[in-house]
Amino acid sequence: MTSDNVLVMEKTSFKDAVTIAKKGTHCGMCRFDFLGSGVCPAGRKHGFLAYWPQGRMEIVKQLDSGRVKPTEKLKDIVNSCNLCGICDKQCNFITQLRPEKVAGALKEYVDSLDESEIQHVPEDDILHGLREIVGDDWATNDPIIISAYTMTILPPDNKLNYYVVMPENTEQISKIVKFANKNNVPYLPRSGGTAFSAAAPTVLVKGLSLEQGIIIDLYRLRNLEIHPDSQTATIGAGITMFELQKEALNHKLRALAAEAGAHVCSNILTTGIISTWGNKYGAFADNFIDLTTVDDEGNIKKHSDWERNNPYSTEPGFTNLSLTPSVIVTEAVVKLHPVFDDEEAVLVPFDNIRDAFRLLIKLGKRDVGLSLAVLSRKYLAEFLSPTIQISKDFDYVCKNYLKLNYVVAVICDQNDKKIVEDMVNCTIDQSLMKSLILGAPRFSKLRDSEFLKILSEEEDPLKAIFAGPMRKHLEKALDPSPEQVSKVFDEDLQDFFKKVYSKPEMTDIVWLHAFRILPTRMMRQQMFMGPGGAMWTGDEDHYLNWIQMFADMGDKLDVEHSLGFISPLDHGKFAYMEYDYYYDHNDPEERNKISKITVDSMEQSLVMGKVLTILNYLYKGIYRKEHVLYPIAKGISEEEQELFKELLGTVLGEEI
Amino acid sequence: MKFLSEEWIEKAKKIATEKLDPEKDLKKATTSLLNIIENIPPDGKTVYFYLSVKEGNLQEMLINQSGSLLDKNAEFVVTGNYDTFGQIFKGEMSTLIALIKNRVKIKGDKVKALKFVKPIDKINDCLRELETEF
Repeated sequence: MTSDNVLVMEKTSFKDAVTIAKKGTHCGMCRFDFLGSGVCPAGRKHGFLAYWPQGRMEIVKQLDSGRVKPTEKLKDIVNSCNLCGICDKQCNFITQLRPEKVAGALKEYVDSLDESEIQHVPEDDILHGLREIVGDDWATNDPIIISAYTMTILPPDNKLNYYVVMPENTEQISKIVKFANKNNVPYLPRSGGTAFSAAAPTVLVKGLSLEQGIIIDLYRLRNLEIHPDSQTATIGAGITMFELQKEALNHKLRALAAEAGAHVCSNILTTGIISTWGNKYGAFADNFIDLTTVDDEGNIKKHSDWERNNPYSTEPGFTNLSLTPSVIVTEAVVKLHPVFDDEEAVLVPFDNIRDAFRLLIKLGKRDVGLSLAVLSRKYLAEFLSPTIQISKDFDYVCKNYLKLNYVVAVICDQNDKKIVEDMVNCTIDQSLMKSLILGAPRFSKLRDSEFLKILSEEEDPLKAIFAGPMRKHLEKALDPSPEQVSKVFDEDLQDFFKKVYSKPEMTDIVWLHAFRILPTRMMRQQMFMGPGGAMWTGDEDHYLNWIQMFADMGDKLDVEHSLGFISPLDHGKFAYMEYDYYYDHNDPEERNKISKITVDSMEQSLVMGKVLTILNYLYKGIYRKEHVLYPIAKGISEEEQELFKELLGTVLGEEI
Repeated sequence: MKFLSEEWIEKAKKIATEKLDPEKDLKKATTSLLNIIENIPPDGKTVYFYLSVKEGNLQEMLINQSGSLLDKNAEFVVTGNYDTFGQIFKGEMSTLIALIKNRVKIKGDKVKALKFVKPIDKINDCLRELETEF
């Protein structure tokens, strides 16, 4: 297909490349090998984000906007790319974008430049100091390289008055922090950058970003050791959840996992790893045995150090907000958990949230299941569907014919499976889920079919389809196969995706729950913002009113919205909830709406009480959950509400 | 005039007393604040900058390098580096942003501190009128 690829790239103008790049959402999935296709060799070799597919996409945007001018490094960046096409396979699976076209257009653009258009970048003492610490290759002030970090740690409009440094160990990070302090230069560590990319289009950007100074890119801290005897792993700050999970599985072990691209150390620090496995495996400081950190004075500390102040406690209350980390976690020793031979996925379908929530909490309190969550219809549709259009149709069919609005998804052993099955009318088993993945294109085409019209007239369509005689008709109609699902991808990629979908893990719900490569599909060519938090589950009405509050805000501002997931923790006493809003991140009006929802929903959550919003536990993941979640928050008073508004107004800007 | 020099402090005290309205600007606040400013170039020394207000009237504005101002037991103690305080005084960064980004650390009741944010900002706005060399 090489000649076809070249032909395609020749047709991609710089303008078209910009259009593609603007649809990118910085999901970071191009930085690790989640499809077995390999990973961008240029990115792996050079490290800096500019050498990765997502970085090249950002550079195209920045060049187009005029924020940066070409430099010598730009030539190096385009020459490092051999247009191997790995990025197209990875990105297309998630977003249906073709980053290779962008890389090709960038190459042509650079080839067309006159030498006089290349900007010279002077070096300075700060850069020399950083290079003394990490070596010449791993520190730069080149604006092109720096611009690639826009939207994943840098705000979109600031002058590019920055340095990027890529240390390879804790000692170097300590030296960088001390050097930065001595020279009064601000700094901020960067891991995957995906969480920031979700916040960057909103009002949160000012508080979360680095306004000038040193970006400490942690990618090179790539130590990863599994210790089977103690069922632990030692991991450097550059290791992603996917990479850890893959190594752990080789030893029949599993880590508590957030999304595949999240860097484990950063995720521990940022939110304490929010996951559907949290009720069984733990949350916040439950997840690690030890941490190595660098504090804001450059001191290297371990949680296991004998003489130190309690590192596990944090101040309660709504004013304890932190939008940047208090320490840099450079290495973690995390707990791993056994993988059992009889694990299976059981999904219980529901038409209403109350019944789904009730079952979830009941199971959570009894510690049934390893992974346990309510997933919304929208989540299912996004995860299982290979394209955006199929996900929309999938969602439509579930909503209008099946009345399938929520599932309680349980990953469990056979004993727990029996408990679940005894409690409910019908379940969706592993086999049917496999059919829905491989038959998603056919499933979505069933909309307006006679089959579904008949089904929708049943008294209980869910029972009829999942536990009745219509199930076999559905499976037949789906005609599930890797061949069928791969046909929805671009023609030149169909053979590859046929092989991908032929792998057992791609239709194994247990594997997909643990490796979490599908949730990033929520970010395909559009952005989402997922406010929420953890709420005490003791008052069912209170919890459901909280969810409704988010829905009402979406309706009021006419933003596409849906519950994401609810997952219990601490034996069902609390439950995380993420409520998602989907929007075009290139539309300023849409961005303003999301900003308003972000701020208003947080304020209303605090007024309601018994809830810890995600901003309240941001950067508190290294503390004990008992210190973060307790005492159960009271609703704030009117006077405190005014103070809170003032705080947000000052921190985030008065424009909301 | 060098930021935090003796001359700067004298002028700062004068201008703040003259221009700030105890009720409108300083909300009749009664509190005290000690700023500990670290890493001051060129030799990285630390300076202690203390101010107190009573019923919205500026009482004291003191500066030294000895640390004796710690004995004043200020209601709030804010610690950060020179560049951060420079940004705050220049109006490039609010005290709250600095706090929430961990650029400064605060000791004291945070809810109460929030109430004093606007009066403190007013003092900073007023001091910005001084010709200051950072």
